Amino acid sequence: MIASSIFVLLLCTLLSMRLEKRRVTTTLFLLSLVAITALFAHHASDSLQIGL
Amino acid sequence: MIEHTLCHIWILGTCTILIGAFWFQFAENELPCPLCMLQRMCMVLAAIGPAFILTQGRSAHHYGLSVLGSGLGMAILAAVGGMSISARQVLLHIAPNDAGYGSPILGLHLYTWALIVFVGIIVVSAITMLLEPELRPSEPKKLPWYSKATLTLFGLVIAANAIAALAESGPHLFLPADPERYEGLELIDRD
Repeated sequence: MIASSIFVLLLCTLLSMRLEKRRVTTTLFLLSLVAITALFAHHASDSLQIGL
Repeated sequence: MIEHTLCHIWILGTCTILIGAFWFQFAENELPCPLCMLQRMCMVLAAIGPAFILTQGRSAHHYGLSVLGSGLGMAILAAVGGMSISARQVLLHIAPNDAGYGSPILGLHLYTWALIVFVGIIVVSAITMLLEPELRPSEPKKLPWYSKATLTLFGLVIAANAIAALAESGPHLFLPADPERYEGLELIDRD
């Protein structure tokens, strides 16, 4: 479900470009990047059992 | 003008790669692992940069920042993330006699191709930044039909990925490490 939510967040980032507020797009982009990094950290640390 | 052509090619190329990944997923029945999904996300995130240039390129600057610089900066950040993820997957299967994950194309697995694509994105972005110091505002003010069609296709591909990810994970928070079935579809069948 988290993976699906990140794709929805990416879709929102794309749709936000229809607005003239570029800061919204930049903020959504950075949020997506942080979410992807966090999910990667979780999957990368799975076998290490450090619970990220 | 060159940056607008490049943006279209970039977004359409990303759509082609992601549709190709769907071919492996549905026609060859090779379910994507969590790292494969993360690489798809980074591929989409990297194409958000050129989409930003296309949609916001009607003015050269925003809040004192260059639109071209912002868009390519987004692409580079996403490509660095994607490169780390695909490099990890390459390293997971680097041991001798390891068959790798999924079928190879032209002798390389999808994650190895992804690594090459992410490195390519960084190189192309850097070269574009070197050769295009200033984005020239595009005329006319409205987006042409082919840009709208490109962005619509991109949006549909992202939405399809969201549905595919939900079908694979089902009610679970995370995708299974070694997926074998669509848990979401099984849940619907059971009802």
